[in-house]
Amino acid sequence: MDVRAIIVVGTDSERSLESTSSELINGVPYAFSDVLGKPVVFRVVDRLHQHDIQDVTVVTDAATDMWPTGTAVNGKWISTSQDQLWNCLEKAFTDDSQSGAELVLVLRLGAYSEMDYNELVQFHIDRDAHITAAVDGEGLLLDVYALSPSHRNDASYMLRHHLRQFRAGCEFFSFSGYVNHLSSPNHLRQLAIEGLMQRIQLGPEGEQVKPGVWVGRGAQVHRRARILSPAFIGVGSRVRAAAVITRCTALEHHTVVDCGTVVENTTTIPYTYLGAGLDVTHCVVGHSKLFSLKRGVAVEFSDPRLIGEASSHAPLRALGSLLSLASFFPAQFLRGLFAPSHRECPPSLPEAIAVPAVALESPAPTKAKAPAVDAGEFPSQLMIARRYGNE
Amino acid sequence: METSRPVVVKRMPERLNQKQARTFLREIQPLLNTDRPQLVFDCSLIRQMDAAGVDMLLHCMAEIMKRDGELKLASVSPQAAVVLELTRTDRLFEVFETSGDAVRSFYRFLPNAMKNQPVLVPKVAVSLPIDDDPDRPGGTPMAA
Repeated sequence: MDVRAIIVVGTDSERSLESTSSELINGVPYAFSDVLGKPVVFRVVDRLHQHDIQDVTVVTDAATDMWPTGTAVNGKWISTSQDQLWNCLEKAFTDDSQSGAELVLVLRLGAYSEMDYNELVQFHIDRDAHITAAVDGEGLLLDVYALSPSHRNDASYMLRHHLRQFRAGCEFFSFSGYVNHLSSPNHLRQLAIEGLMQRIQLGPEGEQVKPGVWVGRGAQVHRRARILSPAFIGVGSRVRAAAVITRCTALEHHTVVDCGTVVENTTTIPYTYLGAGLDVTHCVVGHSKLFSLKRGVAVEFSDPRLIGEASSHAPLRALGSLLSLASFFPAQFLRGLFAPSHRECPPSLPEAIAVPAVALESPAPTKAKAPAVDAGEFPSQLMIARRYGNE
Repeated sequence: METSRPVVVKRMPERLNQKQARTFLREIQPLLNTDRPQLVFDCSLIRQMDAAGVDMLLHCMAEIMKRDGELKLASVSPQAAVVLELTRTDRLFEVFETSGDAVRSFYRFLPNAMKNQPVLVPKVAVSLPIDDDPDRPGGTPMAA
């Protein structure tokens, strides 16, 4: 049976506007986010291939620079503008229908589900449905549909209404397996945790160097760094000396963790730089932004010494490393020449006692002088709380 | 001896980058130079703070501790709390939910504050020794 699939990834679909949570992280759809070494959309394409659905088209209105690397070998990708997304989807469906497809699956990402697509197809055929919509245990739509090209009008009606309205003849396929709605950083983090704990079929893309620790190709871990399982170190990542990676942390590709930084229960977005001596805990971090899962807040960093972003171009990264290495020794030399020495001869005990304390250098203000701070000296937002008498 | 040093509450700006941190430090410099300064930084407005902001906080703390004073943080916004946790500086400061709580904390456990506290009388019965000498002032006279 000729079954084909069309995946829709929108950056600002009406569906995501209706919901309280966005389906974008830093303006990029969650579907394009890497989870344990592979973008979610590629994992869905892989699942479709595993179910003998080889012809997969991805329709997206995201800019091409947002696309994950490797689109050439993961389905046929079609770029469109935001207002033409649904028209483009309808056109892709018509093309598939006209080229002989017997059934077309339409998936909007959206949610990640580990659905057995063969079961969905079988259900659709058994019920002789025009359209079959997959729903989760609570009856919520999963945005996975099976459409019969023989009932093209019904399908077109649904596509024109952005997958929200159906004509008669729609059947609902109840799916009780793993679903992650991927509409917040918490969901992204949860997906990585489930994958690392091997509770779902989504697994880390890397070599398991010791039980529960997966390392991608070209990743460098300093011998004095500690990796506590389960953890994932993505392709080309660097973990520098005295860093600690623990509690289901997933460092996606080309992440740099600088010296002494502790990364705990965190997912990094590719090309993230984490500065030295930090405590990066319970968050999703990347693109100079940190999403705290504990506090439910996003914090933007303008200081690249704390959280920065490396270039996605390898030559630029190499050039940056070369420049920092070249400037390191002259900077150390200049610092040695001009910086004041912090070494002071320890004074002998009698002398140390004789020297007055810093607190005594300026006379303590008396009771009368305390409120005499000049009002004009401080801005109006200054508030002084003073204790009166014995309260 | 009664000491009623003022507690100064200073509201921090919305952004604490290098420029803002320097301006803020200049504003509070006279406060840091007083004897045993007692400062509360109200961090409710902070939306963005970088390494310079954290550095400025640590500098204030060092200066204040040199003068035997105290610096406390109050109403720390989630954004500021994230940065303080990230840079491991949250554990160096006493943090209070409100500026009022922070101000009140300066007066806790002071002998003067305890002076006006009501004296608690223990509810358990206490047997006191009976003074047998009736001639002594305050002594219990013996029954005939």
